[in-house]
Amino acid sequence: MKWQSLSIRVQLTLLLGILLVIVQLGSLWVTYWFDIKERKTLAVEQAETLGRSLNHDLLKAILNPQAAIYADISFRLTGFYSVNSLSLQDQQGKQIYQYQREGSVKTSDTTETFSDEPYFSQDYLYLRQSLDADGYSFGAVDYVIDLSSYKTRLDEHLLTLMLIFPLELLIGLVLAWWISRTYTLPFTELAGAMQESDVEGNLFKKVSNKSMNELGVLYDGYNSMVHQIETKTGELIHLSEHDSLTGLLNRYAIEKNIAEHLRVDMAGSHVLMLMDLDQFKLINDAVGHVAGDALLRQISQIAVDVLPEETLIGRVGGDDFYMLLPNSTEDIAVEYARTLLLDLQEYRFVWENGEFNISASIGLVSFNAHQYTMAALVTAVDTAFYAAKRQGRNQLHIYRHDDNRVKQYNEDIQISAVISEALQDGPARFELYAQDIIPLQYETEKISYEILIRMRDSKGVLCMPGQFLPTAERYQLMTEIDAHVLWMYLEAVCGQPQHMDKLAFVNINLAGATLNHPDFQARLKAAIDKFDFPWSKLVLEVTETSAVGNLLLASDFIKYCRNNGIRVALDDFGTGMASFEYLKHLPFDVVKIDGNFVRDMLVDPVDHAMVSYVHQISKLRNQETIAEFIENQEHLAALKEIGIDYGQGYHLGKPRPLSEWL
Amino acid sequence: MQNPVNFVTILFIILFAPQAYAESLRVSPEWLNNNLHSKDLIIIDSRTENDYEIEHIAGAISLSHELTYQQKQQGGNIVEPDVMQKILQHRGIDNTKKVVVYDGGEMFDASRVFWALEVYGIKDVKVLTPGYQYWSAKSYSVNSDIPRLEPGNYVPSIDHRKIASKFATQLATNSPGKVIVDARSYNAYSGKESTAKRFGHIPSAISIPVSVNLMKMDGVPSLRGLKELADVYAHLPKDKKVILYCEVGRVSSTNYLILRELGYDVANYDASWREWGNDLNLPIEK
Repeated sequence: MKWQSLSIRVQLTLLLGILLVIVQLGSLWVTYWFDIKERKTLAVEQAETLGRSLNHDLLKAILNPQAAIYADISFRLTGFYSVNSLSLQDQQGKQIYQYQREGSVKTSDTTETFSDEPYFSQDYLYLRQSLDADGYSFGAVDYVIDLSSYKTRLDEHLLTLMLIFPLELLIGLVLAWWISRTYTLPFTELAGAMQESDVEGNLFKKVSNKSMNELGVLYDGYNSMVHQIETKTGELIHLSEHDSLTGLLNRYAIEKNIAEHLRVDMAGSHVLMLMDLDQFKLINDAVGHVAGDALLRQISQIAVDVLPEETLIGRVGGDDFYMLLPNSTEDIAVEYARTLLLDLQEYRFVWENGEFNISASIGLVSFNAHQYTMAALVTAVDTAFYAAKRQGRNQLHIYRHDDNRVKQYNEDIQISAVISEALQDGPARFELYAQDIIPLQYETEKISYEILIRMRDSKGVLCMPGQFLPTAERYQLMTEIDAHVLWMYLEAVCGQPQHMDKLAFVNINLAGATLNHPDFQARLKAAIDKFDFPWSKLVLEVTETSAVGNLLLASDFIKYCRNNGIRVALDDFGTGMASFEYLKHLPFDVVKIDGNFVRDMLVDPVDHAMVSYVHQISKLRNQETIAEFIENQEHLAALKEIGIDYGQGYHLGKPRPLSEWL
Repeated sequence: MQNPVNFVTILFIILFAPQAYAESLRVSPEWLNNNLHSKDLIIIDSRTENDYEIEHIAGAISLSHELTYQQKQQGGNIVEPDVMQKILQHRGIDNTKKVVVYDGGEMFDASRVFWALEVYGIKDVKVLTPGYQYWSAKSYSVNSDIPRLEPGNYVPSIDHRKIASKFATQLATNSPGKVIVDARSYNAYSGKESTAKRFGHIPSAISIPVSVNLMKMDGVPSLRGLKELADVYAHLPKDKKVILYCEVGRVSSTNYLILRELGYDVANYDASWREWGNDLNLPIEK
């Protein structure tokens, strides 16, 4: 076993134990040493006392040697058990008397053994005393003192010490164990606290200790460290789970919560909603990202205010929000969703003197634990959301498993695949149609038309724009389609000089988002370089002007177009968002009046007036006007009368494949 | 450490006590004759120096019983230590030697020397019985040569248990643990005759005349057998210390020898009646 692998408690106990043994052995030795010394001193003292008491008799024995005196001395000496032997010498150093204790061992000493200093052998003390009287020495007496009696007591003493020794050691070890335990307990506690701390859960055990010494510092340090870790980790967790912009949960966190609700058994149902702003991109493009961010924050606040407190709200994309209502029924959630939509509709977003109406679409799905997988639930709420989107703005759609709209959503996916096919190499493809645009105020030999798009799938079935363009919009494919159409058209007509001679102008549609799209702008420039086309005959018809976004950029591009002779028309004027604003700021050449006004102008004087006013305004701005939806002679007559420049509609000509025009 | 000592002591007592209890302190002439030339053996002639000079056992040295008195005329007091030291050193006697003492056969002189040697600490002393008369009658080796003596290194020591002073005897008269034995004739004990000024005996003393120890063997005097003597002394309690006296501590030495043999703790009051009987301060009985 390695010393390092032993616990501090065991190490301390062992060290203290060893220390204890050393100290005890040391003290034992010192005690023993002092004992011996003391007993030697005692032996000497007793021998000297004996000598003094015998002094008189021994003197008498020297001066008057009588057997009776000697016998007396012998008799008296038998009373001193420690006297092993005694030898009396006269003045000349001659031994004149000796006493050997009965049964004692005769020591092999000589007179040289004795001196004035006491001498100790293993078992005996040798001592010489001078026999003095009145300052005159009459002889000397040598004592041999048996130390066994002292030794016996010494041994007994030592034995007692030896017996006490293990007892002391035991007590010492118990104390050592107790001390080491007491002193390592705080460390064990600290280590335990560290091990018990749940780092993932950011739950740290606090420790407390009354010590004000190093231990107190250590504990305070640990607590302070843990506190900092907790705070920082808390911040990190918050950062990792929250969206920095809105303060809502982020995708990771909300999805974790959704997964949790799918996983944990609960009697009640939960509701998941997906919300998206209807024109967020427009606002973002129109007034910039800073405004967009502000809008998102305000929208988030509205959602937080409207929805119940326990709702978990997360921003999962640009303007996409997941809202999870735990333990809620569909009916309750629908109420909340409607309130939210209403609040958003009433809300006006104000930015740098501009004011914007906003609306949102919400998809909603209620679910129980284990009812869906995460992916299936996301698909479900997406489906419901796209269904809502498809219905137009400000819509709520509730997911139903057998939903028609849901089925349509599934078709959407298929359609988008077909569109992608058509944009690439097929087998599906786009076909170009053209519809007449007739001048109303003059007669001409020349032709003019608007290019329309059809799509033929791999089975040869023809799809109308209404069937696939919404999908294309949702899948952000419009720019590509617009560029593709332009390219197709140019390729089709550039080899037809007679046709181009006959052509007065061609209107080609652009989605609002396409106008400012750098890809499209690049394609157009490439087309101008590549194709030998009379560019003054091209009119770009911008629909969904609200989607144009940044007016300044758009304005620059329009100027570029006009420098190349290309004119720009504003499509569907009269509907849509802030159309007058666009009309005012963008240098359009042509204004196309929304068909809805034309359709009802004969019965609705307001619509009639509208068409008339638009025309008047356009004239003031030196812009040409086109009216759509001309379905009969009455429409035509009325529009001619107002002074509209061009007309378009079934009455004037149905769309025909472009190939038939060539 | 104490235990082994105790054990040895007990062992010692077990092995040697029975011998001390009835240890023969006599040798026979036959034994002596066989061991005559043994090294370390000192044969002491306790008769007068005149007798010794005439003839003695071959190899024997002279230590006359007369040398064991300070002044025999005044009393039986044992010779002074310094004198005894010279006597024994001169003769090379010490505790490294075996000693056999003899006299003519009466045993008084031999006993006196035996006692004196024991008092002066000589341990291995035995007595030849029957004595010289028997020896010479048996025609064992005798001569008148005086052996060359190698001086010894004797230092006096006194075995106080074997000698009793007047003081000790005084104490013994009243001590229940001690018995005083008068070895003089019954007439002397009973106060009919005395060599001192006063007549009678030391108070509490009992009378065991020395003659009970002796007999004639083939016409020569000798000690009686030990077994016989045990019966003689049967009435004397063995757990009591015995103090002997006679006129001058001479004949009582014979009693001393016998009682030693029988295992008694015995001391000889050497000054004896010549001191006690003449000291008017001491009590006597009749």
